[in-house]
Amino acid sequence: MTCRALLVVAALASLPGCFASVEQWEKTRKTEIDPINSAIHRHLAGDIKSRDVDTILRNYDLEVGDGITWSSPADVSGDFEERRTRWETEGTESIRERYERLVDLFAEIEKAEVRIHRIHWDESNQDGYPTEARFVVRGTAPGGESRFLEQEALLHIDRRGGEWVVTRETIEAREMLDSSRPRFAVATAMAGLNDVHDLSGSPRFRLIGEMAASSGSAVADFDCDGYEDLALLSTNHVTLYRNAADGSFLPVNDEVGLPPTLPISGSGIVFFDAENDGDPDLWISGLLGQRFFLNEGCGQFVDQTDIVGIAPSTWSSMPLVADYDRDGFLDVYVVRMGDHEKSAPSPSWNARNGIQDSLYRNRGDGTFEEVTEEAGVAERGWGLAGAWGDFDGDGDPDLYVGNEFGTNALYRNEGDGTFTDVAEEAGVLDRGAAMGITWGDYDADGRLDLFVSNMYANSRWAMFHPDYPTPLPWYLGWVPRDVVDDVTDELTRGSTLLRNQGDGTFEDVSDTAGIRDGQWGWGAEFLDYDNDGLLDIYAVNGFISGPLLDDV
Amino acid sequence: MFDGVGRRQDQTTGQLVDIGQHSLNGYERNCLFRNNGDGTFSDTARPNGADRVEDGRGLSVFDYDQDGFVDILLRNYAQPAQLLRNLGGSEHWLEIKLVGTESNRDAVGARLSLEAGGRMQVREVHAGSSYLSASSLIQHFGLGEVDHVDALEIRWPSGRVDRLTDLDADRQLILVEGSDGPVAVTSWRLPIR
Repeated sequence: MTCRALLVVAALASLPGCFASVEQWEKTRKTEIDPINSAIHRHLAGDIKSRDVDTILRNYDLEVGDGITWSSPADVSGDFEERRTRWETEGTESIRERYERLVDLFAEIEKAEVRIHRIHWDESNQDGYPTEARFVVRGTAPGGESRFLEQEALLHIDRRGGEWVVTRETIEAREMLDSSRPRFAVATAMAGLNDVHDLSGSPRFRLIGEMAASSGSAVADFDCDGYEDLALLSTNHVTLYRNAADGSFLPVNDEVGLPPTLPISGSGIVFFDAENDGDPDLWISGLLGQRFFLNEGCGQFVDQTDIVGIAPSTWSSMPLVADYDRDGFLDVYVVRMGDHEKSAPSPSWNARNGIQDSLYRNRGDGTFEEVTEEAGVAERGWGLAGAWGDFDGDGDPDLYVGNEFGTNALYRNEGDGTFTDVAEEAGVLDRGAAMGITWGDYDADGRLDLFVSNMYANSRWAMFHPDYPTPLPWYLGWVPRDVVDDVTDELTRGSTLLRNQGDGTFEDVSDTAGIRDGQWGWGAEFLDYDNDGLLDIYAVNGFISGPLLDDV
Repeated sequence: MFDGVGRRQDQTTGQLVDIGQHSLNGYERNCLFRNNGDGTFSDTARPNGADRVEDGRGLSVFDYDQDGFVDILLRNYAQPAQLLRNLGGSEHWLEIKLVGTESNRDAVGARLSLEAGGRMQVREVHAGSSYLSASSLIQHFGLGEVDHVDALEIRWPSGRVDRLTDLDADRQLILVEGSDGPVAVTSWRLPIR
């Protein structure tokens, strides 16, 4: 569960001496990368948070900026509840005034970010390096509303007097959202939920020593009382919570017969009615094994893993449920990664050495049989996520598998028990490090679209530096740098929204849609949070938050 | 050492270095991409109190308090799970729980097409998505200012198509495959407001 950025280093570590440029890169890191990181990401952002304009201006060697100004803000809220303001008038204005206006919009700034998207290292001029950046400011308005300001900017940055400073600033877009009535409130305590994800018992991921397994959650009315209950998975146990129908949830493992520990390094979890008897059964996939618990009468779970015929397996990410053969019984596809303890993804840019995924066919007699090979879904990418969805509208479920390492797969259901991977012709290979998949018809044209949650690496801008050691092995040293850069861009640029065009192909609308930078994305789901009839997307993110707040 | 932007191997052992006390894409804020209806989305997580800072991994979307507005359960990495309760609004809604008879009982794979106020909405029942997680099988439709559904068509996994017309909003319906109409209507709410 790491990123390709780390893999790049892994490749370097495994081939010492093959790169004449390593030493040069170490030098460049000290003279350019680290100081720019420090100046822009740390100091400029931190100074904006302080709201002290004089302090902010120390990051500039510039009196006047251009592009979008603060003149004539337009209310573009439309019918939405959140107030949305956009600035579009172009002109020049002093940087001091630019920041005075900005800090006046906030009584308090909780977090300010300057996210360098790309530095055009090879296009430096008298003002330094052209730099694409995104400013994000979160805080509270003077009137008390929650406020969110975003700016896209083309900067130039240069080292002047020993410090990296902004020497040119063109604001290309600016929008602000605020609301006096937040839709969501944290109800964790009110619901009596106190469940910390426990990592004990997890294998460690070789690419990054501190990394352990992640775990998921699932919902279903497992006691058949009309209220949806909850399961929260940890590495070494699962806890079921009964919806008490008063806004709270009660842990009920003892009552429902689930063991206190589950030594399978649990990762993915799903409820489904495997035998069509009206109560949801439970399938848990883990790095060290899988478990199937049969629900025997609305809330009595019995471990039937061996009885139903699930063979031992390792490094499973998550189970995905659908009736692929339409025999009336739900089948299970299990996405698997590779062995993170003993191996590394290879080749790094399109790994196919993961542990094979599995398709378990429900025979309808209380047992499952593995039909992976004959069904043609012997997927070998390092998979983290996936989802079934009938993208071609022919009535049977198709399957999208999101691989962290390796391109993604779209298995079209041929209706005869077999599948064909059509990801390439459908335009959904998506090289990004997929970490969350969901289908939904966001544009209401009757066809399922695809959201792929990918990594947006904070460090991506540094990887385009000409001194950055190419991740390719020496025998591919002839590959031109701009080709390598294109791949690096695809690998690290963030999430993807793929619009189903209805002819078997998808259009990548991520940039127009404005969902690319979901940061280090993991799970994501379509939902209509404001009941306006349009499907929105909730996307979680963040890799590791350590005691040291600074992102490295 | 572990510093700067790139990750480095230890110069003596050649091993990759633990991230240690540092962060890596840490303290990021979750996104709520609001569908603007014109092909664009706006991140409204902050103004809606949904820009949680934990290291997110899985999530489950469900309406645990049955108020017609979907809530979000967040399964974070090495941190507490969080429940984001949707405080709701004045907008109308309809929730559909499907029960298969010929089809699998959970109706996974069923497609729902809803017509209300001159607009069409489509859902498909999925079990297992996002990351490591599963959301509710109950299908939720927001209806905005429209309090009446003109038609709801269900294409079941068995191939059977059921069509219902003239449904009132703001309730949860349970529809059994092959039946003429909802066999159970629940419009109660939990007493937690």
